[in-house]
Amino acid sequence: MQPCVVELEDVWKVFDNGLVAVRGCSLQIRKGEFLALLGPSGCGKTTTLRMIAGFEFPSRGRIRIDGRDVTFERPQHRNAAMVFQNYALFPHMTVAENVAFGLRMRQVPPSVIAEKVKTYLSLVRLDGYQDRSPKKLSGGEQQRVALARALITEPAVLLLDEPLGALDRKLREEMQLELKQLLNRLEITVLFVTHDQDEALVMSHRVAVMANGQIQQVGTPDEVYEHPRTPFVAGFVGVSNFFQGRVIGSDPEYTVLETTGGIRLAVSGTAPVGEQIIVSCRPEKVCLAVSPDSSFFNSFPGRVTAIKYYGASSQYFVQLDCGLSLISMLPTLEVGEHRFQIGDRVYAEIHPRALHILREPGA
Amino acid sequence: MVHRQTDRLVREERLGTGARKRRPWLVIVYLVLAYLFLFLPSLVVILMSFNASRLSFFPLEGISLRWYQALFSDRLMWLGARNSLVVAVTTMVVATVLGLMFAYAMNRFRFPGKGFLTSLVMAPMLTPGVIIGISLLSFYYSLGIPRGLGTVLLAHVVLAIPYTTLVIASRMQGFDLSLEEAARNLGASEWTVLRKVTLPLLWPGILAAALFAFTISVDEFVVTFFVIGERAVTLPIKIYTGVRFGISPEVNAISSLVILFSTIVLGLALSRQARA
Repeated sequence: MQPCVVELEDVWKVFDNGLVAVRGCSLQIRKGEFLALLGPSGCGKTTTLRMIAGFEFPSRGRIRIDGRDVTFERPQHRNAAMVFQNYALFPHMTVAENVAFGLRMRQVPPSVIAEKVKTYLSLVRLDGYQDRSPKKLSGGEQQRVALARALITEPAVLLLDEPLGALDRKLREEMQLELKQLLNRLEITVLFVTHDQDEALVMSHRVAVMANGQIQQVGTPDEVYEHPRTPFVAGFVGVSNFFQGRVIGSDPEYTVLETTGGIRLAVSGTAPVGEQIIVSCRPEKVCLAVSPDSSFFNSFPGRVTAIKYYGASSQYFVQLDCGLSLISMLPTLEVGEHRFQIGDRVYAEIHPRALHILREPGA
Repeated sequence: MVHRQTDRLVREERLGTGARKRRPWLVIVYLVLAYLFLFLPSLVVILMSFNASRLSFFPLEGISLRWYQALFSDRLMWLGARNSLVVAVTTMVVATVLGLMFAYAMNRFRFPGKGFLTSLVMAPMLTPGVIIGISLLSFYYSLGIPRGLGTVLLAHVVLAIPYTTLVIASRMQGFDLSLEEAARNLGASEWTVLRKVTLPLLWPGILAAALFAFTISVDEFVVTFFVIGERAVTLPIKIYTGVRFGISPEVNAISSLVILFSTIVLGLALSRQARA
């Protein structure tokens, strides 16, 4: 296993005004890893990033970079280069001077600097941009200058603060792939802060989902999407159906709960009898059938109330007879096969393994 | 029908929009009147400075440079001009540095009594010159400070600080703090950040503030009159003594030069600020 580059150990941040931005955050980023810190605005992800960069100091806990304790080290003495959300390019310097800044601060000889600036500008496909003013560049170009300026210092970890947030959608999707390929090729360690779940899933090796200053779940994109562990993760990453109920039976493999609507649901996993739990299920795991199937344990009658057609797939909103609502996502079928219409009588079927028991973080 | 409409639209496009073009003469007349109101007195002074006659009346009796000649051989006038320049340059430096420091503190730090201190610094801008003059005079008198160019300098700094602070503070308002963070993130120390990022970006504001301070000091009369004492002289004071017993044409000449000079300096200051 690769060694840790960045290590957060029970980090807390309480601001002067009493706001607790980060509560007990522990996280490890391994060498060469691309880790996304995903969460809604105000969840503490940017504060966490700023503490790693040294712009804020933790109220409690330790931060290590490359094994060295940098908890209270000043920003200029950390080897963590940051790409800011607004790029923060120096408007009074040319592109080349911007990129060279980090090396100039490290007293690198000018001839070496000139050579490296050229290399890094061509790395981000900005050959010949040396003497341009950053103010006259497009958003995408500015972003690449900011990236070159950070990369040229060969940082232990590259910190990206919503780097694609200011770009329009099409450019953002292009840059996602380009950035991912470039950073993978350089085998650089990256911590990437974003509120866009698609971006986090597409770009990173691992995702850390954050809410209310706490890390909810850390895992590969498919783990986080397919096996959400907390109610927040299930709702924030993708769309989920939720059921709340009391456990009425349990064996080593399955748990049965009675939901608030009065239906009984078999769920894989265990929970003590009598406990109130929340389970979730992805819409694409909810199948719709025309007739009841007695071999299926979780089969509930209902009626289609609305349909969202996406082309490759459709979302069906189903009102169950017990009063609960469900969302089902089905691929578009061949012409001639049965398609559901609004008002159709359907049976919603959910495999017990598609249902996940959720727990609050720390529980 | 449609064609005719498009034709009209195209025509209006070429001429500029119809509505705006309809009565340009009204705007022009208004502008001419407004500018005459502002600048006619100065124009008269400049015109009279070239008048061959000793009396400042129309029509001019002939064009002559004799008053400029007289002016250039007046030693006291020169002394006043030199003193004014020395005081103005010193005021400029001191008031700009203090204004920068003050704007920086106001912009970057939070501390108790900040609002109160801000309004205190701005107070000289709103206090009548006569009041400032009298209070400074009695202040210097009670402390036994001898009046002269030194006291004039202190007074001018007091008068200029609100302006330099405001000009620099407005420049700092839009300052993107992430630029300083980016510099530190790339390895710059606090001092280097100040030298390489903060000050270069504030430079247009600092320069504009300096020019403002200079203009304020060079033109200042009311407060100066109170605190200058009997021995020293600045240009505005000298001009005043020149007109006390009737307007001497020499005063017209020096006034013309001052108008020219101030216009250039203020123009520089404003264009700096506009570009910033």
